[in-house]
Amino acid sequence: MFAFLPAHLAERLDGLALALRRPLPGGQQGLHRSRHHGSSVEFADYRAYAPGDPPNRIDWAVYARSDRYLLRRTEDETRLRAHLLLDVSESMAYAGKLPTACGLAAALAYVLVRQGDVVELHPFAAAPLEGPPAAGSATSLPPLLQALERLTASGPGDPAAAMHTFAEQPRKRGLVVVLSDLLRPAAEVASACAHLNQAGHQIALVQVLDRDELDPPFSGVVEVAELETGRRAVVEVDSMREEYQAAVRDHLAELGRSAAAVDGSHHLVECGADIERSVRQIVERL
Amino acid sequence: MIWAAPWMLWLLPLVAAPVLWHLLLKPQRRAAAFPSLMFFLSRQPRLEQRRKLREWIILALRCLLLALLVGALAGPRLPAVGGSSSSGAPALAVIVDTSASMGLPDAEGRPLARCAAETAAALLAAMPAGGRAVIVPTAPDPDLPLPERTSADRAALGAALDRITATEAAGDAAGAIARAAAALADDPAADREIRILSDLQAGEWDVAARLPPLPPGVRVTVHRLQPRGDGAGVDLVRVLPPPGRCVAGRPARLTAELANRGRGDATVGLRIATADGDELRDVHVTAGGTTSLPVLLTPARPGPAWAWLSLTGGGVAVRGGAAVWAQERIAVLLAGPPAAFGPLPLALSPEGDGALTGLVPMAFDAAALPRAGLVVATWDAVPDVRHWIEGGGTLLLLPATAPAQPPVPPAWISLRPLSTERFDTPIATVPGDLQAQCWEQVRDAAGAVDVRLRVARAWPLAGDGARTALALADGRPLLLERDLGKGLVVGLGVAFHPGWSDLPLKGWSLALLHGLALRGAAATRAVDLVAGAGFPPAPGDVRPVHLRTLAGGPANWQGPRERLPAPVRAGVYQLDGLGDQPVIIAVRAAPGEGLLRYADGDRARLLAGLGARNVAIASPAEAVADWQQQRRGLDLTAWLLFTALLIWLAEGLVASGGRR
Repeated sequence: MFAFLPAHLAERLDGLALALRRPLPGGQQGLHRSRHHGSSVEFADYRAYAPGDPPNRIDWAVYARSDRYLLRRTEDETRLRAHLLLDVSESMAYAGKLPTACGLAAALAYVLVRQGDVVELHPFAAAPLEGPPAAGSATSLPPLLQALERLTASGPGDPAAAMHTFAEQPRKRGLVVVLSDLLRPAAEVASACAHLNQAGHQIALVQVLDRDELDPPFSGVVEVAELETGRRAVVEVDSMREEYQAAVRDHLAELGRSAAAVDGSHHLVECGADIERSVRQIVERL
Repeated sequence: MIWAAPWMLWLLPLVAAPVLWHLLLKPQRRAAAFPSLMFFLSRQPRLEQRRKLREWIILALRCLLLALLVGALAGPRLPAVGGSSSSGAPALAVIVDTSASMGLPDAEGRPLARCAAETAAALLAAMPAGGRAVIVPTAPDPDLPLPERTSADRAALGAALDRITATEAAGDAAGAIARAAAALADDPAADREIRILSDLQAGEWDVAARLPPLPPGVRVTVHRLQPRGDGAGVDLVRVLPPPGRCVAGRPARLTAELANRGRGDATVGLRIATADGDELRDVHVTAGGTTSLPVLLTPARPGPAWAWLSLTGGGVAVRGGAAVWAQERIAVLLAGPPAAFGPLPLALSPEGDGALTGLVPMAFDAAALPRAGLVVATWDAVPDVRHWIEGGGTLLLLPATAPAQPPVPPAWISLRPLSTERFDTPIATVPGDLQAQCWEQVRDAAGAVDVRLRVARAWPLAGDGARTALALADGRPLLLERDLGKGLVVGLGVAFHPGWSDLPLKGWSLALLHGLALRGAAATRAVDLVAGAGFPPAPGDVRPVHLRTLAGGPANWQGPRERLPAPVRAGVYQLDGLGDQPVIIAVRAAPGEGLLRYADGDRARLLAGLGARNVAIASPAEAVADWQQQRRGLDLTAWLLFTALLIWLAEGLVASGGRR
């Protein structure tokens, strides 16, 4: 029994399948299209033979017609590698943001592993943290789920920096799902998205926020302390509530545009939301 | 500012409570942990400024709210302009316009002066106990003595007001204001006010005048009383007396001059009342024009005689008296033998005693000069009457009927015959200066002079500085006149005899002789005045005099000459005590009162600088209410509470705006 993947949730997720909008390279056969030209039967194009190419890939029929050695290339059906970048900075400790993010991660991992993909969990705060081994089968998934249960939110965090760091690492291209509150300037996040896209990853930004962050729950003059940095500011919430909400709306819209610019997606999940429904919405928009 | 509860102002320091609360005791801020300040800080600078501004606005509004509430609790009242505290008994000076224009009716048909008096009476009745008042008419009536200082005797003042009516004087508005100010200056009351009840006729109020400064704190309020309708604007400008002496039994011609100061032509009725009866004439006067009318007055007996003139249909009642002093007889002294004058004595008095002409020819006697109107002498027998002539007498010189050579008259005569001229065939003369004084009685109503004469014998004359009234065809003077002091010397070049000319046969010769005999300023015992205009001042003259009415406005005043008041009503008065014979005073209504032009209360030049309020009233009660309101001042409590309510709403609006 896993805290973030109870049996009833796993049971409801059984019928859910995840498909990407664009092909990605994959080491094993799977459900996802790949730009890697391999040995599948689905024709892609031709190229000239080069020394070292396996001779069995020469299209002899074409040779008979054109007296040229051309290699027939096909689009392989690949096995997806998904990277779950999970924000465990202290801001995620507010309300139920971290449990919600962990629940989403567990559900996504379950769905991906069930359809034969490989899932890697990369917790991060100010910098990437050590994560559990990749899970690519039903037997390798439990360690990942157990690792999620051990995570705690602490310290400062920087999702954009973590995304940049991840993009710079030599990894196989795949799906990068960022589970974070993304409380950084939208421009920084947009830059990190572009960096990941440049590295060949498809991006899904899953922003987990508490309702309080959309509409501050206090009124009057309040001295607000930032969880991660301890910075304080005296604000009169009543007088600036509309301005605050407008800033949040602008931030969310900007993140959406940043994700769309790299053919990715942006998802807002409130704390306490139904995990299954949220995962379904995420999967449908990938 | 007047405070009903000034001790409440000690609560004013409470106004600082919000400031103290804000600065010292402001509530502790709550602390709250939050994931990020990003969204707060992204808009913080501008919002912080707005928040602080809103805080200070709210603070100011709350302080103002407290101040207004404390002020309202203190019961503030705003005194009227120039006013001070109304506590204590007031002093009130009521200026009642009693000029002739106040005789016009108001909308209800009552004379304006009556309305003014009733309003003044209402103000007196409403006066608090201990209050003092003074009634100041613009045209003081000698028969209605009023105290010059403020008085607490409301009964006496009210009785005087009952007798106030419009006069026929122009009224002295500036003088009335000065008297009212002087009365209030002597009054110790703190609440002092001048109330003016007038029609504000432009001729009296819209004039420039130097007024003494009002005592400090004296308010001035004007209640303009509006007359009903309009008038023709025709005035009786003056009544000219006869040009010479007046003799009992002989008609004297007066001249009434009417002026139309209105905007259109007018036809008014002129009623002339004399001892012989009444006469009513319709007189048409063009707009802006004047008309002169002869008025014949025939004194039945020696002494005063008067005519009473009144205009009807001209709006304001314009009346005036014209008086003459008739002498019983006027002596004509003949210096020389009677034969030397031919039929001249008959021409002066056919019956010899002046029964028909009022002229009595008699031999020259120096003692008779005071009663004489004319001295007739031949060129060769000029009596020494120089001083008499210089005092206003008239000397006629002519040749004796007997032929003789032209003599040399005394040098002071300055006229002399030059030679003897004989004509086989009488020759015609030509008129000279038709404006010569000797033609005064010869002119007809149109002013023309018809003086044809045929001469068979003549002494052409010469004179230094003399006027030629008649001349020979060749231009040599035959009738000369020259002024000598106040008198007149007339030289004639023909004798009053048919052998010299047809002069005794000419009707104008009688007019000439009678005119010379009646000429002079003998009517010194008849004075012509305008209503309201005073007599010449006579300081130190304490002779007791008695002024009483012969016709027109009632007057009955006795006192020393130096305090003799001016009659304010048209009429004919007799003043006794200034000699053995009375003086007759004809008083006419002040000119200009018929001109119904009025000044706006706010623009009347006389009121400029007094800070006068112009308050229209429809009844005496409204004047009383206004005065009481003025005394109370404007109660600001309700205004302060209302403003506090607005401030409270504004504070709520600003505060709620911050919480949205």
